[in-house]
Amino acid sequence: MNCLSEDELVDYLFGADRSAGRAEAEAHFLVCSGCRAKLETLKLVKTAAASVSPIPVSADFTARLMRNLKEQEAAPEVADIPALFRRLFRPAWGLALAAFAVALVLSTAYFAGRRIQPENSAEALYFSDGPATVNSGLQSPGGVPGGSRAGYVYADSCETARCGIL
Amino acid sequence: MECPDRKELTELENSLVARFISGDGGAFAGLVDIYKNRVHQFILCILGPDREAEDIAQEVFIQIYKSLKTFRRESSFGTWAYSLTRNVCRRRLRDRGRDAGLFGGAGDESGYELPDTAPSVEIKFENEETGELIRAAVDGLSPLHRSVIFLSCWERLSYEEIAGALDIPVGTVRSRIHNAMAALAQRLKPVLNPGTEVNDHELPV
Repeated sequence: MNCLSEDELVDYLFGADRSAGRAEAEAHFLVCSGCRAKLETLKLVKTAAASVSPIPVSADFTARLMRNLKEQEAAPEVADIPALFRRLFRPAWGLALAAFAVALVLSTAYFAGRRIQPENSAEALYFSDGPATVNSGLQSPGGVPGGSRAGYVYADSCETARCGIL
Repeated sequence: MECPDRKELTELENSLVARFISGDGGAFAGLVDIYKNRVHQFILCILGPDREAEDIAQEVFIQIYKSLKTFRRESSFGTWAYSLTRNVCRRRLRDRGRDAGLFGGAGDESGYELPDTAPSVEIKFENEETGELIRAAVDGLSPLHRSVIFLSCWERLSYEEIAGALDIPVGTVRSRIHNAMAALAQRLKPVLNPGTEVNDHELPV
């Protein structure tokens, strides 16, 4: 068998190699001092890492946790709402939501304006003998194509006004 | 202190989980006692030294408590608990605007080769000074390397279990452990071969 690669050595050390390969590797270690030395180094590194104990939590950790859980169980909805609220109103979501709201307001205003404009312009220039005056109280005559009163010019004496003077 | 025997631990965990699911709320305190320091350590592996680590551990156990009744036992309790811990840490990192993708990608290359001569002295890891050096060496690794070193060397999880806990393919676990071991070997040079010095700029993380 050829010398083991470092990947194979690590697999061997962590028991992740296949059993057939393991027997071959063990036979190889008997005759190859280089692979044996590399394996020894890896074993020491592993033992060193395993000697580092977890940093303990404070002594009242479990008691505090159980108290928290009891409180949460007593008022689950109170505990859940802030979490949901926080999730919905993260800075990124908040910005997106604000942008959406602004876009919604602007587009509503734009479309509403377009629709409302003809209604508001239901005013007419009333031509009489005197100067032209605006009179929004007038109704358009029936039979007007489209039925819109917008910008319709009423004249009682000047027929040319109907023909596009204004 | 090394991790207690895994087989015994798994049996104890299973019985506590079964008791909790059948309505014995007190069994949860037993699970907490087994895992509180481990979860805390795993959080420190991911986030580094963090004043909020204990609060995050509390958050993890609250999540475990809420989800334990739906735990499908497709993996061991420990693997599942580490997977939840990792998710809570990712969320914390995202909330803090740090790189939550830290645990998804590769990019942990390391060019160190193991020496083909055995260490020159017998090492006594129980020695306090040596213990400090080793802890510093482990703490100096990247979060990716610290996590796999903790799960493989201390917790003694298999490649498959680590893959489940970190939500990465087994092949990635393998290469990550290889790189982490090489990086740690480099950092432990002064311990393994006293008299050698390591320059900070040549250290892989």
